[in-house]
Amino acid sequence: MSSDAPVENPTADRPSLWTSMRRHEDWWAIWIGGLALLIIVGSVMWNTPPEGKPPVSALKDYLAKPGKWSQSPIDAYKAKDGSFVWKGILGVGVLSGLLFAIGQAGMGKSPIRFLKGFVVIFLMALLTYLLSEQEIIKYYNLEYPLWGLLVGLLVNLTVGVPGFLQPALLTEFYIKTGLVLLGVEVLLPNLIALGIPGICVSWVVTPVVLITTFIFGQKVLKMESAALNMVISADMSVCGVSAAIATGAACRAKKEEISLAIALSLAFTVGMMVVQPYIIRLTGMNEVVAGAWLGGTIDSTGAVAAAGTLVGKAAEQTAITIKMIQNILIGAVAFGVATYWVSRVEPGREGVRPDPWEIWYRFPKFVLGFLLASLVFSFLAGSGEAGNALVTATTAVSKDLRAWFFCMAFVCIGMEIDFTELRRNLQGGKPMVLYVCGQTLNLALSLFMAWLMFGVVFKSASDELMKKAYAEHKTPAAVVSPK
Amino acid sequence: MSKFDRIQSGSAPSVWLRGGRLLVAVKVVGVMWLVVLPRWAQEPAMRAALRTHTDRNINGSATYYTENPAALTAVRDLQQLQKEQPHLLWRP
Repeated sequence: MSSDAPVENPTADRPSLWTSMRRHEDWWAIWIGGLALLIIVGSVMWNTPPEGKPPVSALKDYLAKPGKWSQSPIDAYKAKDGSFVWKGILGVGVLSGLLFAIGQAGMGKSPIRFLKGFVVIFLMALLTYLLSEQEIIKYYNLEYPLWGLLVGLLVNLTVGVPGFLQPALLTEFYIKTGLVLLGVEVLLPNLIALGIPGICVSWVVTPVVLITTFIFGQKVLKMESAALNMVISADMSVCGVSAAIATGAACRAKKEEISLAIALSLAFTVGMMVVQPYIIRLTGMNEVVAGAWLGGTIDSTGAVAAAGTLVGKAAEQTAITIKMIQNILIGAVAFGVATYWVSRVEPGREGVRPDPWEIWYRFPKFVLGFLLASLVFSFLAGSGEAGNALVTATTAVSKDLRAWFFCMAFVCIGMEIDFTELRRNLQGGKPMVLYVCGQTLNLALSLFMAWLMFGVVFKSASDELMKKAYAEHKTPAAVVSPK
Repeated sequence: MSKFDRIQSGSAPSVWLRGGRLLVAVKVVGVMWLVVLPRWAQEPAMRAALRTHTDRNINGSATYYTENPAALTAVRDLQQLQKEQPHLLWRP
């Protein structure tokens, strides 16, 4: 993912497409992600549900992650019915190990050496989940990437990274494969859930803020790393961690750049999810407008819901929906960033204008897998009840597998992080200035658009949303926040 | 040369010292997660706030909407609303 990766000489002999498809990590991310999806879809179709019940994957109990716990971490291994989820965790370990070992073998590397290190990486990811699933940690939106970095760092800064782990430190491979699986969750029919006002708040303001922030970073702040500039702009304007991962991979950002962008985003998110609801209550803002504002500005998906609950039921539902529509934007953002990078940014460093073949050659191919998965599953989701049920049952399992892959990637980042590079990026505080300026623009534009759409143009829709939200909850939602 | 540089450049302290540091770090994490956070979670105000999230099916640390059960409920409700009033969100 390094933006300093040597740029290939256009005149040099290049491997054929077939060779590249058999040897290159990007293609193997597609094959492995595709194989995992085929297995999951097969397990849904093969498993006949009881009469009147929606389909469920036969692998649901065999692919799981630790759950929420409060007093004892042992509770994280208990399912809702009191049974232990060990077989689900073991299942993920075995399936992931096998899939990535196949990938390693396909790329001409030793699968045995990989598996030796993978067992430890997987156990570290398990520890990461235990830390992140504590209920207060979850409440304050301190997501697993942060704890993955911490667990990796603990090893990195104390005992150091043992040599046998090196073959399993496949940060980019885990991220790219996870992104192919994420494609399944980028369902385009959900785009229209809030009609025109939803599209205007999520799909008009967000790209404007993203592009403006990127240009501001390049032209005004003159940030040294265009990739860092892009990752911060995307995670701040789109949807936090998942956008940072997707755009970081698309523009080949360094691990340290992705980590820095995520840390910045999480730090500001914790503040915003507390401060914004206070401002809303202080100003007596319309709940639906407030929800749209929260959904459009708070980076993290979980934090948006949490902030919405502090305002009211209508705000919570609007905020969650606006954020969901923004989430779907990451498909388009990843594709746009990848195309822009290979056609403008990388050639710009060499001073040459690439032809279409050159663009294709440089294009990060896993993005195609991500988009293909999104298009296929969007089509299925929109094709009727049966298709929608198949998609729901598939994503119920694939999302856990995808989260494990990302979690392992962040453990690896923590172990590989280069502090010299991190310090270099922090110099002059430019990332912080970029984030603050971009977020200020985001807050102002989103508030204006939310007010215009839900407070003026679609006022009757806003009233209806309010009425519906409280139809079952006769009294406004209780505002409960810890002192 | 900072301590990070020393560790990364290989001129790191002895194995015992590094092992000791790991133990200290593990202890700090252990105390935080096994003592401090569980006690905090039992404070009445925190308990009430946590219950709100549980009651409303909110996953406060979701990285994507599919990880938040409340998002799926919200979408279902909105789809129902759009069926009942097709023009509501499409015509001012």
